[in-house]
Formats: sequence, structure tokens, C-alpha cells
Amino acid sequence: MSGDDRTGDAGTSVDPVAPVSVGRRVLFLVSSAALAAVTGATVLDEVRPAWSGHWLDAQERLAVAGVEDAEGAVPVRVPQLHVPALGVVDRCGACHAGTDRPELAGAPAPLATHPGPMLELHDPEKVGCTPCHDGQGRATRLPDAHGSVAHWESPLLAGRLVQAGCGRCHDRATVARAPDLRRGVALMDRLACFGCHEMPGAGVRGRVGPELTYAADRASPAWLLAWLRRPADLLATPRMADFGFSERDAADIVAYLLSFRGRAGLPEAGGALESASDAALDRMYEAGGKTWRTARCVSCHAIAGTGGTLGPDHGRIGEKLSVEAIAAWIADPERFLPGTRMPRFRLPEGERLALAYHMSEEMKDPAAAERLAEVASRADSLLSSADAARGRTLVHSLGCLGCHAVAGVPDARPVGPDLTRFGEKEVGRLPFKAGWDGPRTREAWTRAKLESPRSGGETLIMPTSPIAKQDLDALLVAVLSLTAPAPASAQADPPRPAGPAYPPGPAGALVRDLKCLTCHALGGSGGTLAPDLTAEGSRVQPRWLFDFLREPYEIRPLLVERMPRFFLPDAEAELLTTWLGVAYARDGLPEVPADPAEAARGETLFEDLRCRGCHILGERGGAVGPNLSDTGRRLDPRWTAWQLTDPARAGAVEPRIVGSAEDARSLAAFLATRRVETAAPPGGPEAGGAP
Amino acid sequence: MASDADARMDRREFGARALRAGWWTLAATGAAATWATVRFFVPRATYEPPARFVAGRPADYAVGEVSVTHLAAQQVWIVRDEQGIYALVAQCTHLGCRPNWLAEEQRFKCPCHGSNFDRSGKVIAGPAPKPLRRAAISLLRDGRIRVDRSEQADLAEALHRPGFLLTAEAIAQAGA
Amino acid sequence: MGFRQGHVWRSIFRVGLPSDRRGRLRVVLANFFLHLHPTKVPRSGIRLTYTFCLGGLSAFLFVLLTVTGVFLMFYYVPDTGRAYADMKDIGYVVPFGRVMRAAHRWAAHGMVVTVILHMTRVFLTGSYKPPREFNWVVGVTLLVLTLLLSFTGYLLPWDQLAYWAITVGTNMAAAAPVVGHEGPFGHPAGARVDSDLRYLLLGGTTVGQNALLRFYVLHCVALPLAAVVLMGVHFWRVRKDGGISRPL
Repeated sequence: MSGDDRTGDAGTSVDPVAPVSVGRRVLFLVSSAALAAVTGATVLDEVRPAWSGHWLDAQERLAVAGVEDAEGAVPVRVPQLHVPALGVVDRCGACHAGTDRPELAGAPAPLATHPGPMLELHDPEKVGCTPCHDGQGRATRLPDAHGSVAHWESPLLAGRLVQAGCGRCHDRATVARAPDLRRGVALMDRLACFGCHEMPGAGVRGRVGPELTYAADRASPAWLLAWLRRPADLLATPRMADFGFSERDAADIVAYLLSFRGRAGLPEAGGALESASDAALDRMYEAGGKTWRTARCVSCHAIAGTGGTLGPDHGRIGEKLSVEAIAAWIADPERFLPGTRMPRFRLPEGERLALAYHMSEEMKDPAAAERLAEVASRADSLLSSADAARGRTLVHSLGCLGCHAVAGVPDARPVGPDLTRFGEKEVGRLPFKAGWDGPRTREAWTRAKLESPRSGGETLIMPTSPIAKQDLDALLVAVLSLTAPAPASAQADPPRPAGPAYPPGPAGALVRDLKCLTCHALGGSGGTLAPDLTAEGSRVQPRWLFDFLREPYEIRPLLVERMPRFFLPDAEAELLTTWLGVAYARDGLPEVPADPAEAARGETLFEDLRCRGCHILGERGGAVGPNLSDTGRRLDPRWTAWQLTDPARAGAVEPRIVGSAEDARSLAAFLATRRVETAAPPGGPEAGGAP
Repeated sequence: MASDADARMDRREFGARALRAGWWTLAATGAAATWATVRFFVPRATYEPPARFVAGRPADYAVGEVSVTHLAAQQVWIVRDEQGIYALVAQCTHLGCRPNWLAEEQRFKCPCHGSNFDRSGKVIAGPAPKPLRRAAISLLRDGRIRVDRSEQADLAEALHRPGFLLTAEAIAQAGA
Repeated sequence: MGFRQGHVWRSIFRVGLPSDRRGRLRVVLANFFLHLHPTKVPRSGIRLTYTFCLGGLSAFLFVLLTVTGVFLMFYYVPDTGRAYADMKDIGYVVPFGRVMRAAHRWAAHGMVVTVILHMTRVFLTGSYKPPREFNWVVGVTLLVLTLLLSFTGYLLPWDQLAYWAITVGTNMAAAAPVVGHEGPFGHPAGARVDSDLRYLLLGGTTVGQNALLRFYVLHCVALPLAAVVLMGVHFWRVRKDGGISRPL
């Protein structure tokens, strides 16, 4: 090059424009072309942005569908939703151009209409997209927009996971259109995650399982050993998780529990039954079985999977508890588990013992007896070398106190990490195990953690619970929904009270003792399993209520959960009846005169409106609604008329069928004439035969 | 030899063409880059509220009311009188300041140069040459009002052109 | 042709196209934009493989950075609440914003590289020796300014990387002798966590709104101004110190 390179050097005078070789000219052309290509590509990307194809496709489809305001060109502005109140800028609509267009219901993926009535329920102008779906709202390219790029902490909640977004503004336990979230939240409560983690939950830390102080009095060392080793060996669906205790761990813990022996003050095992003859025992067995049925224990306790789910499955309770322990529990459940949902049944001591004896004999698995006997044979030698101090350390450090109380030990502090805002926890703070080769996302980590809680390292202590695949998804949704509450302006539901609010006074104490609010609601707080009692004083007649409280019978034929029989003494039934009648009555109900003509008209209406489709009256009828055969004794006709006019305002699921207040009055008058004229109320022979 | 010379001539010619093509390519690139630079200053996204917006339902406005609900964000007054509902653009026709609605005096007064307008937008006093402009207004299928600020007309046009007044009949119809 | 002889044209271009060496010399001397350039250069001194044009490249990148930087200022607000969002918007919705930011970013990296290579070349060719020793000092100062420009620009995206890099970087100021509260003699000299050099840099004890604004002003105004002035001195000294150095 130096030969041709003639610049104006001092001393010589040469042509300043040196001839340039052809090769260099070509090089110039090629480099210019390369620069032009890069510039051209950039310009093209700007004129036709990545999203414009989808957008134009949507506009074309809209034009075909005859929508007037479909546009033909790429818009000057990127379509975006700007919600200043939430700090949201979402440009999802650039590709998802048909979400608010019903005309594009059948269009392929990015263009299709938003499914369901979600956009009617959540105005996109006020909510945006990312508050529910996550992802990177400002981005206009894939995969950035879906947030599946490095360091974007909240990628799109795909599929069912989107329900996690619902929990940010709605009440997680009740939100209508998020079944997986609801199920996950219920599952978390059942697994008592709140025992070890700071997080919202329907339950009290240390009050989930029975108090450990009395464990050694109530259950045999052999049972405790076997249970600690593997709860699933002793119960098909144990609530307690599997902590993976070794035999030595279990023995140490049992040794610690044995140090509390005698605290429960139970009578010596077999004391009352020792002297009883075989015939007497048989009679006790029979009587106990009858009490089990009369008290409707099965409403809450399943036997080997069949029955209610409010309480634990009692199919194998006989293996666990001695007769005395069962009887003592029934006598006063709060003593062993404060805050339990189990009501205190008013059974006389003899019947209590009979029931306990029946349960103890009836509810066990013969196949397990052998295994328990085997453990029992080794229990003494295991326990003789056990270290109670180590057992105490295990109980205190592994989170046992999250579910079980121990006398003299202050309320447990959670042993696990705080999960209150897990759904927005920085991915970098999640302890991915060494050699993790999956995606580093919150979702992937959480799934792995739930699947095998201890696989991440030796020091991890989270126990395992058998979780079905679909339950795992629901749990994942529930865990990811744990975020800081949305701004007050976006809150959809008022905050729920932490637990049921009990009314004051002696009646309130009775309501608490009988755990009425487990199933019923009173004044806006309580369960939803049974009718809301807030207006019970106006709904039913006092005489009927008194009788029903003493001897409940079946009103809704289809339900598993039925009102238990508490064996209430007259005084308590009287107190509840009077109190509900005074404190929980409603004003302004229409008068319903007892007029035969009106009643006759009502009877015609009853048949015309096909009420029998859902209700039994006399012999025939459907089993969906309550049995109306005894309405004349049960309901206040004024209430009947008021409710029929608009069932929804009374909290009923019944559709609005009755057209006018007059019709409702006629029907009420007719139903008021319906009574079951027998000594025993309907609902089965058992109820009538009680002592 | 001659063919050698020809070849050299062709080579030379080729070089000259490559040089010309190179310059043209460079010029085109420069033009594109210049355009891109200008285009850079025309934003594709702003945080102004959209020109088309929903302004509640007719029932939200009382007859005789000059509503300032959408004034701050959208620069329009929604006015309802016996004839119906219309949207006045809150921009003085003199030099573009935003007048104030003084309910006691029942007039709009511009703070800049003192133009006064009545509730229909007509000039009562001051230097404003024309009445206030109006924005397009229509009823959505679900009965809500939609205002389109990007579609404007002056008073004379708005009075005969459809789409600038929600008539009382239309409101009544939608309500029924 | 008449226009070239007209009053307007001649008021802008005093001399016509040169036809001889003297004419060419006058053009360079009389033109504001060309006067920086010497009228005569030694051929051996501008051989590509001698200088690799590294100084020129550094200057070119500085100009590129100034232009793209000013453009980016049209869309970026140094506010902790929106700086990150503005950066995202530049990448996603500002027309050619992504190219503009990429150009600024890569040019910044490139300038650090070319400045260092330029100094390496100057060192290896011995061009720092008298009479050019002062210009070497100016060059070193320009290197520091280049690095400080990169450093201050690092905070502006206001992402995790920016935040922590600046936290770490400014903590070095806290460890400076005498003026840093963690540095040697800092404590006896009265430097405290809220009255030392780091506090001055950040306008506080942690990286926050004040720090962002300070770094923004340093990045866009103070440091570029200083660099421009020193570059002027640098170029001027190249000529005053005998033009470009020649191979031995």
C-alpha cells in the first residue's frame, strides 16, 4: 500500500488524488452494502414491528367480520393500557389484538377473545393485563413480553397458574372463578402450612393437632412409635406429614412424650371395663354403636374414607386411643385440643364409655394389629436406650410445635421461612440446589420443593405429605398467590375476619361449646355448610327449634353432613331457642293470615310451579331442597312468604320462581297447613327412639 | 495482447461502477439514517389518556350541569341541558388557554385574555373569535357515553352534523 | 457557476478550490473544521499500521456517544420511579430507540477499549517522551474521564446491576484515605458516614434519588464538558509538540 499512498509529503509535488485499486473500490462497495443492509433491517423492524403482523391480522379479521372501526395500517401508537393508579403499562394488546373483540372468538392464539366474562368483571382500562397474568407489560417482543427472559422475575402465569393472580385482590379462599386457588388454599390449611411458615391461614399455630402433653397417656408407646415412623402405615389419609423419622428419632421423641405421662389424669386403662362381664360388654358395644349413629358422628368423621371430612377419619381410632382416652376426649375435646371443631356432646358418662368402647372395638384394622404387636414387642428395648433430651430437641426444632402444643412451652415461632409474600420473592433468593438444570423460575423451584421437600440438601426439614398431581398444581397456585395485597383501590373483597366472632353472654358460650359456627354462620361470621342462623328467630317456630335442638332429624335428604345430636339438656335447648328468637330475628316480614281459601290457592300454585321437583311434600318429591312435609311446625309462614318472593336475599340457592308477593303469601299459607301428625317427627326411626 | 488490454479496460470500468454504486449505497444509507433520526423524535407511545374515552352514563349528569369530571384528564366539559348532552372542548378559541367554568355566573371565563363563553360555548365577551369547539359524543350499546376528542367540530357544524349531541330522545330510548 | 462567484457563496467560502500546494495549505488553515488538522503530516507518521487510527477512533466514538446520548436524553428521566421504565420504553416503543441505546452502549465499551489501545500504542512507540510528556499526562486524565463517564452511565438504567455496581463502586470512595470514613486517617480527619467523599458523591448514605440525579448530571454535563476541554488541549498539544511522532 505504501507505494500508492501519496499524501502531500514535504518536498515532493505529486498528484494528490492517487489512483485507487479496483479491489479497494469493490471493498468500498461491499462495506457500504453491509452498512446499508444493517440500516435497512433496522428501518424495516421499525416500519413493521414484530407485533404489527398480529395486529394487522386481527384488523383484517375484524374487517371481514364487518366491524366498522377496523384499521388497515400499523397504528402510529403502540396499543397500550395505561393504568396510573396501579402503575401498569401493558402493551399486550399489540399482539393480543382481539382480547376485547367478541368477533374474534374463534381466532387463533394471540388474537382470540379473552375467554369467559373476565373482561366484563375486570375493566381492562382500570386493571390492565399484568396485575392478573404477570409478564413484562412494557415489552413488545417475544419472549420478553411473556417475561421468559433472564432476570424478569414474574414471567407469565401460564395455564391454571393464572389463578394465582386472582388472590392479589380477591379473597383467596372464596374467589369464585379460581377453583384451583380455592382448593390450594384449603389444602394448605389442611396441611397446616401456617404451622411452620408465616402466612395467612385458617387455623392457629400449635392448635392443629392434639396437645402432646397428653399423647403418652392417650396412645400406647407402640402406636406412637409406628405413627412417627410412617403415619401412612396407620391411616390412609393422615393429616400429619411424614417427617422421615428414623427408628431412633421416633424412640427419642416417644421417650420425651413419656416424660409427660400422667398429666391427662385418665383412669387406669381398662379400669371400668375390667370387671364387666362379656354380656355387659356386648350390651355396651350395642349401645355405643347406637349412640354413634344417633349423634351422627359420621357427619364429620369418615370411617375408612366414607363420611364427612370436617374431622379426622376414625376408621382406625381403636388402634390409637384407649377406651378411657376416647371417653375423656368426648367428655371435653377442648382439653386436649383447644379450639377444636369438635363439639362437646352432652352424653352421660355411661353412654360416653359405651360409645368409646364401641369405637375402640369396631374401628380398627385387624391386619395392623400384628404390626403394632411387633413394634410393641421391641418398644421396651428401643425406649430403654432412648434419649428424651434429644427427642425434646427434635420436637422443638422440626416444627412439631407448629401443630401441637406442649404444656409449659410458649407458643411456637415458625421454623420455616416467611411465605407471606412468596409469590413475589426474588428468584435469586430461592435456594436452587447444586446442579439444578431446570429453568430458574419461582414456579419450577416451588414445584420441585412441593414434590420432594428435602431433596435440596441435608439440612432441610420440611416434611412430606402425599400430594396428588392435581393437588400439587392447586398448591402451586396457592403458594404463588401469596403476594403483598394490591393497592386498596384494587381490593375486590373486604378483608375477612380471622376467625368466627362469637356472640357474648351465656348463649354465646354455648354456641362456642357446641361449635355451631363450624357449620352455621351467625351475623356474618362462621361456616357455610349449614343454614345461616342470623335470622333464625324469624325463620322457624320456637317450639320446633327446641325439639330440633334436642333431637335433630333429616331435613335435606341429600346431605352427608347433618346436624349432630348433642344430647342437650332442656335448659340449654331452651336457652338457645329463646336467644335465637330474641337476638336473631328480622323485622318487616309480611303478615300471612291463616285463610283456608288462600291455602287452597297455594296448593294449586305448589303443583303448578312444580315445587315438588326439588322438595318432598308428603310421600313424593325431589331431594334437592328441604323436605317440606312438616313446614307447618317448622317454619314461620311470614318468613316463608318473604323468602319465596326473593330467595336470594335470604341466602338461599333456590331460584326465583314465585312471581308475586301474593303468590308467595298463598304458598306460605298452604305450607303452614302441612304437618306430620305422628308422635315421632319424620327423618327415620332412630331419632324417635332416643331415650 | 488486445484481449489483455480489453480485460484491463473492463476491470477499470468495473472499478468505476463499484465506486459509483458504493457512493449511492452510502447515500441511501445516509438518507435512511437521517429519516430514522427524525423518526426517533416522534414517539410511538405516550402516557396521555386515549382520545376516545367512556364518560359514565347519562344518569350521571343532571340537566343544567356543566361537569368538570373529565376536565383535568381529557380537557372536556360534559354539559347537559334540555336538548341533551354534549362535550365542550376546554380550549379557548383565542389562543388556546383553558377557561374556567364559573357556576355562579353561568359562564366560562378564560384567565389569559378574558374571553367569556356561555354554556353552549358561544362567545359573550373578549377577544375569542369563535365559539368553543365540541367533541364527538355517542352512546355505546351498553348505554354508556363515549366521547372522542380526536373528532371535533365548531358550533355551527356541531349543530347540524350528527354525532355531536346526545339528544334527550336518544337518552330516553337508551334508558328504556 | 455564477453562484460560486456570488456574494453569498464567497461570504461562506473565502477561498476557492485549491489548485496548488499553497492553496491546499490555505484551505486547511482557514477552515474552522479543518484547522485542527495539520497542514502537513509526515507520511510515515500516519501509516495505518503505525497509529491504527486509535486516537481518531476514540474521538469519533466520543462524538457518536455525545450525539446518541443527547438523543437518549429526550426520552430518559433520571427519576427513581421511572428511570427503569424509560429505559424499557426506549428499547420497546421509541422508534429506533433500541438501536440508539445499543449504539450508545457499545460505543461506550468501544471507547474504553480504543483509548486503552491508543495509550498502549503511544507507550510502545515511545511517543510519550519529551517534548510530548505533558500530553501524555493529559491523555491519562482523558482515560480517567472516559472511565468515569462509563461508571456514571452505569447507574442510569436503574436496574439491579446498576444499583449494586454503583453501591460497590462508591464504597471505594468511602475507603479513600482521609476523605473516606473507612479509609486510613479518615476518622481522625473527621470523615463520617454522612460527611465523607462517598456522601458527597451519592448525595446521601445510600444509592437513591440524589445519587441518580448526581450521576446523571455528571454523566451528561460535567464529565463531557471536561472531556471536551481536555481533548481540545490534547489535540492542540499534538500539533504544538511537533505533530504526530514518527517512527524511529
